[in-house]
Amino acid sequence: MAFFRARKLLSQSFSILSPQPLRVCIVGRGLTGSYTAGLQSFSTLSPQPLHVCIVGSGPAGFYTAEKLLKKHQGAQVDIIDRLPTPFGLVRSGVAPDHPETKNVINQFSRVAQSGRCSFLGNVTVGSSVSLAELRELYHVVVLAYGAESDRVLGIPGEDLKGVHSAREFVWWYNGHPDGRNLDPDLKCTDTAVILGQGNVALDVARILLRPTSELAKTDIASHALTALEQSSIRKVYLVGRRGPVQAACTAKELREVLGIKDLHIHIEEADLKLTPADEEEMKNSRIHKRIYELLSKAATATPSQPSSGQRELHFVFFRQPDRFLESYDKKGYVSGVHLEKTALKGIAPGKQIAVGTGQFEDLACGIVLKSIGYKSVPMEGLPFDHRKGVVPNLQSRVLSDNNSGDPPLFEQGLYVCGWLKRGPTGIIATNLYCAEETVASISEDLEQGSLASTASLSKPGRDGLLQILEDRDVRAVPFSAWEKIDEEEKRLGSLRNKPREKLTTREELIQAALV
Amino acid sequence: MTFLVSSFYQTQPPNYLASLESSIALRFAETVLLHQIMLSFRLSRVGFWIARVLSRGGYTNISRARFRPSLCRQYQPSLPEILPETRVFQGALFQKHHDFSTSASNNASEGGNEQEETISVTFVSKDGEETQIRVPVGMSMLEAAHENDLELEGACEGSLACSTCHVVVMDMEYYNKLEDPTDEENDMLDLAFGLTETSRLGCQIVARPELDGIRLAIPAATRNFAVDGYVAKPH
Repeated sequence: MAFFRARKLLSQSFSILSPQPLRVCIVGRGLTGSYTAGLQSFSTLSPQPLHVCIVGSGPAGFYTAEKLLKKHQGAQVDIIDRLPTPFGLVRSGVAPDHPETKNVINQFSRVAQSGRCSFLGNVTVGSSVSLAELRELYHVVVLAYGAESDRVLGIPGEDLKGVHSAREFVWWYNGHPDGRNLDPDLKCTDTAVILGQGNVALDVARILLRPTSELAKTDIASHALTALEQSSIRKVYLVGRRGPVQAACTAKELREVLGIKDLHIHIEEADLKLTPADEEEMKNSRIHKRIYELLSKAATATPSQPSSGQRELHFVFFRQPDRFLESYDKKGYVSGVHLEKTALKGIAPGKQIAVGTGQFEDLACGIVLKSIGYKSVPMEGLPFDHRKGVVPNLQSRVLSDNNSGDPPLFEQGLYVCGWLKRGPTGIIATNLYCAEETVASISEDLEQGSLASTASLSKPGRDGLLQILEDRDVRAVPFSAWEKIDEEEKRLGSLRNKPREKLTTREELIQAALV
Repeated sequence: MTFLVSSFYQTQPPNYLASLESSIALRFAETVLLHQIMLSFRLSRVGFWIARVLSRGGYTNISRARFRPSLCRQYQPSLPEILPETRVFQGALFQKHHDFSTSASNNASEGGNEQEETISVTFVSKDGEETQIRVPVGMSMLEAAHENDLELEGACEGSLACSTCHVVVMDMEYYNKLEDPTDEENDMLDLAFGLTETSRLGCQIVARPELDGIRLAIPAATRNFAVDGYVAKPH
């Protein structure tokens, strides 16, 4: 067994900057030298490996790696991430009370542990290494770094304190190192307004309303659990521009939030009235039909008034935010949302949009969470469509700037996958198909397209990257080091009866990784 | 030379490694393999041979064990850690016991002894390629597919939290023999790509005698997969 463990560690020995931890692991067997020497010769023995670098270690990155490794036996894949931890939104997006959804981590770990793949955390494209350098070092660079920013409403008061994006809130409760300082004030108010009715909105609502005794058994960040235990929030409003037929959530998430213990659900009966256009929409969409049925059932099942002390969840349909209201007594803080009523207008068969009616109303609250969509961030040297918030691409091939000619011009060897390619929608499984397309395009270019000639050129790949990182004093975190973080988090979790206690600062993570 | 050892590992069938279950066998093999690295190429072939013999021994032994469905559903997170390379591209989520159960089922179909009953299941791949396998009664189609190295995704490992093991039951007659999907399964089917009227999740179809002969298609990914524009067919 120790043999396998040692071998696994050594398979990543290329990526270890400080060989210390490795030696410690296998020194007892007295084989350090022979293993290391052997593995180095392994890399030189393989004829011209195809060096691939994937930027981002979320589902899009890992599915791309898995499919690439499977399709190209000669491929060496390095997955880099700016965080010391892998798995992207599976770690920092999926709600703590959805452990089953995170099972996919096991599959991704097997990919990372394979001999032809390596993970290098704590490597930021931009500061650690530039995109241009990566493209020099590798035959193929796949960008799969997702969407780490937010769409904005662009309405007055959006900068008031107490107005957060749901992404920040999710990062906060999931222990993302960049989210731990959010410190949302959950004690100043009994009402939270969530703008949006997608799955992220429902996750946030559920975390705010679910009994904390239940959350305490999850891998929720401890700072978030403490804040939620002290939270005075009793009422949550989920505000959507359109109606119950157009809600963007999925049935599982809705069923879950509706099933929270001792929660009063409020849905205006008038909002459930269907127009012929709604019925047409439902006929064509199984999911919308089922969502509508769940909502109507919930509307009729709950008594009209909450019992005393009961927490409340209000679905507010046909309203769009017009501006945020500032508190009179607390300057700079939000005290409510000015909402405009909307009506639906058909623009195409089965497609209706919300338009303002000129009627307004106020909704008082002490905290607002905007769940209106994520947005990708551009990168230096990368063509970017700022309006759509994605990288312009044709079947995953990155299109060059100033692309007017026919045939279109591509950035050679540069591909995209996941949210950066198609926008921030879909579920984990969507990335399966997304990665399949990316890998199909790479394969096609290798066989007959732009990569056919460059693939035969020798490129430095991982060795070159590691050299650059060493020169710049960047401490990369290989997968074996992540496994130490993992082990430490599980150990800390077991002390508190949690599956894991996440380390939430870069310093703590690096320390656990490189002991 | 290490290259040889590595490729040796990577080319072995899953059963080989899975069958090195007992710690004694493992230790022995470990020693053998360590020698492989340090000694000559010739010796490494001897090691290979020893390991094979060893694995066969273990295998026969274990194949007498009856198939236990309860074991099948226990995920053993420690195993992928032990054998990462061989596992990764086989999508073998369901660990060692499955290999044993396959052998048990083979025995049953061939020998006709008192072994566990199996049924015939045909998987039709995305490319239309058909593979007929024997599946022990009580085993889910997701587990069976993985045990036979068929390409069926299983992101959530059968915990009803994803739609990646979506299969299409090819004959309505068989579809009707299945119990109705639960709300939870339907919630996931909502999100399956290329949903049809006889779509089910592979993890929720469990082998029963009356399903003998069932044919399941693994749907091809649609080129235009954007969830936004994707409209599932009414169910």
